[in-house]
Amino acid sequence: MEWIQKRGYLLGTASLGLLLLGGFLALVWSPPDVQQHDAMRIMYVHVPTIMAAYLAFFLVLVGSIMYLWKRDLRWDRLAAASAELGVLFTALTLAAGSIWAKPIWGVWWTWDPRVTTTAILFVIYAGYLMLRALQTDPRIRARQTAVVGIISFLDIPIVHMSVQWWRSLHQGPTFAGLSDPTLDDRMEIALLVNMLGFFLLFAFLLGQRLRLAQMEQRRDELLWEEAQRV
Amino acid sequence: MSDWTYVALAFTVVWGALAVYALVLARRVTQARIVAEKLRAAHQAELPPQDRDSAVCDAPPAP
Repeated sequence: MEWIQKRGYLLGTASLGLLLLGGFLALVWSPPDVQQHDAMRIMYVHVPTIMAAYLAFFLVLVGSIMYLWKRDLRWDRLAAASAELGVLFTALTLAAGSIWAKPIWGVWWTWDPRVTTTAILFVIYAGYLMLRALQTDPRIRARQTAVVGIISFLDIPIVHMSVQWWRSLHQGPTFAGLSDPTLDDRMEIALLVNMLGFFLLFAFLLGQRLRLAQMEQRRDELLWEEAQRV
Repeated sequence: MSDWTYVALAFTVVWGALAVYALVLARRVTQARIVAEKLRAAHQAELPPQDRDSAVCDAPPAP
C-alpha cells in the first residue's frame, strides 16, 4: 500500500502516457469492426473501466478479509478507497455501455442480464459507501463494512457469468486472453494498452485516495483526543 | 447521429469524469493536509513543552 502512495508521480505520468497512446491506438490505428463499424471503438474505454472496477472490488474483498483477521485499520482504509474507485469505474462502465447500446441495440437502456447485474453491482457498492458514512466509530464502521464488503463481492461472478447463464443481448466475453482468435491483432493491442493505462491510472488514484484516508484518520484521532480532554 | 458522435460522447464522458475526479481528489488531499497540520499545531500548543514533538527541539535556539 505504501509503495503506490510513494510512487504517485511515476504512476500518474506513466498512466497518462499510456492512456494518450491508448487513445491514439483506439481512435486512429485500430480498424473498425465489420458489424459494429466505428461504434465498436467504445469498447476501448468500456472494457478497461469494468476491469478496473472488478480489481477495485477484489481489493475491497481483500481489505475486508484482512481487517477482520488482523484488526488493522490500514486494511479498512484500503477497502474504503477501493470501494470509492470501484463505484466510479462501474458508473463509467454503465455510462459508456449505455452510449454504445444506442447505435447497436437502438436503445440507451435495456434490462439485459449483464446490464442489470452491473447496475445492481453499482447500487450494492454505493450502499457500502453510504454505510461507511453513517457510522462514526472507526472500529465499528470497519467491522460492519468488512462484512458487507465480503458479501457484496458475490455479485461479481454473477455479473461476469450473466452473459453465459442467461439469454442476453450483451455480447460474450470481449477478451479471452493474449491469443484470442476472435479479436483482430490491432484491436487486441489497442485494448491491452488501454487496459494497462487504466490499471496504472487506478493505482495512481488509489494511492492518492489512501493518502487522503490516512490524513482523515489522523484528523479524526486528534479530534477524538481533543474531545476526551474537554 | 453518426457512430463517431457516440464514440466521442463515450470518450468525453469517461475521460471527463476521471479528470474531474482526479482534480476533486487532489483538492480533498490538499484540504485534509491543511486541516491535519492546523489540528496538529493546535494540539501541540496545548501540550506541556516536554510532551511536544521533537521537531520543536530541532529549531535553532532563541537569541
